[in-house]
Amino acid sequence: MKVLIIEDEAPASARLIRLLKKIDPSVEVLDVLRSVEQSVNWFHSHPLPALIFMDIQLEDGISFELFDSCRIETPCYFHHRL
Amino acid sequence: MKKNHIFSYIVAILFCISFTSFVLWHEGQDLFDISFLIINLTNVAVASMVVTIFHKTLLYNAALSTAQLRRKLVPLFFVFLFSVILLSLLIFSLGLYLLFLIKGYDTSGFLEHLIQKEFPVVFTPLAIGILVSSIVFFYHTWRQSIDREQQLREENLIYQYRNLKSRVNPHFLFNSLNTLSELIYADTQKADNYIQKLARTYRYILDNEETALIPLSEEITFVTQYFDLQKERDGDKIRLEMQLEQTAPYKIIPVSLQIVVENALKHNAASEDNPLVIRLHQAGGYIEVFNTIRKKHSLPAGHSPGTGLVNLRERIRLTTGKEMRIVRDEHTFSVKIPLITM
Repeated sequence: MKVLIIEDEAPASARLIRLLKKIDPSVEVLDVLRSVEQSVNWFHSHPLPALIFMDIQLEDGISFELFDSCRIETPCYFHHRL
Repeated sequence: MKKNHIFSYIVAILFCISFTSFVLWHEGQDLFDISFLIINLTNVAVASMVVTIFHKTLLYNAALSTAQLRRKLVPLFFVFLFSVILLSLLIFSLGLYLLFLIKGYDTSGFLEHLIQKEFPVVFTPLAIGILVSSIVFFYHTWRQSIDREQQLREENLIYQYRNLKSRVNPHFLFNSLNTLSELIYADTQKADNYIQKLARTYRYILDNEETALIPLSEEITFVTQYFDLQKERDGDKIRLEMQLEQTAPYKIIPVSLQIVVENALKHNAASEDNPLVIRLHQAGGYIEVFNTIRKKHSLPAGHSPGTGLVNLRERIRLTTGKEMRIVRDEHTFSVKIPLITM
């Protein structure tokens, strides 16, 4: 299964990848994106993954802004830290 | 301030009464002794009020220790006495001169008349007046120091309460533990270093709860430690730069730099291409914390509006008598914290 991770904190994304691999080693993490800008560019140049893990607070804004400029019809899993 | 206003009104009224008495006396009414007494008491009261207000700033800027305040007090009192005597004699002479002009008396020998006739008689009432205003001076000083102590105690209580609430600082701890949990898998040695630094951070806060001032070098070490912890999470997105002149003779309020740096991290966005740079610049009696403003788009239900900075400002004012200064322009945000030499 191809997944995408949108998360601006390195330790948090590393953790997510480690947990995913533990659950299902066949999971393929396509990319780890850090900002809204980076994500918009990615979505305009790649096919959609099966599942997206999205952090709400990114480097340059809130991930919800993505939906204004991209058509994302994949299931998204949101998480948010304090 | 209100009390000072009432005080000055009373004095102004007394002054009017005394001037009337003066005129009546010159008309030949037998109010000689009393009016002279009133005139001079009032003069001295006016003078002492003026001088006390003038010296208020000097007293407020006094250093922290009571010993230093005590040392300044005696010479200050003599300056006060001298100014009061001078001012009240001046007011008296001016009032008399004005009266002479109004009455059309001969003003040619005024100065001799003043020195030979008026001053000797003025001496006793003046002495009484000086005594009264000395009492005023010391009372005022005492009041001020009590008020100041009271305020300081209050602000310290507020700080301690806030500190107590955030002593564990769930926000900070939560983030730190999350970072730590990943470090354990990645690099055990690094994880252990992280734990040590985290423990040392809390140690510093706990140790210095009651301390008013701490050597600048210690606070800088603490801020660097705190920043290292943050860097573990944010990596190259944040950077701390330091330009320090001479830290040895200076002291600062504990945890002050950290609060400012934490505030900067909280309210600014950071990315690897555009890192958030926080710069510490120390020159002379101040240390300044700069950061480039990088507006953070975040959820509205976010952080409290920098109440930490407000409390810090109060603590600095009450402990050092100096002001913390915030300068904000389009691109930069800076907080200037005063240092103390002891």
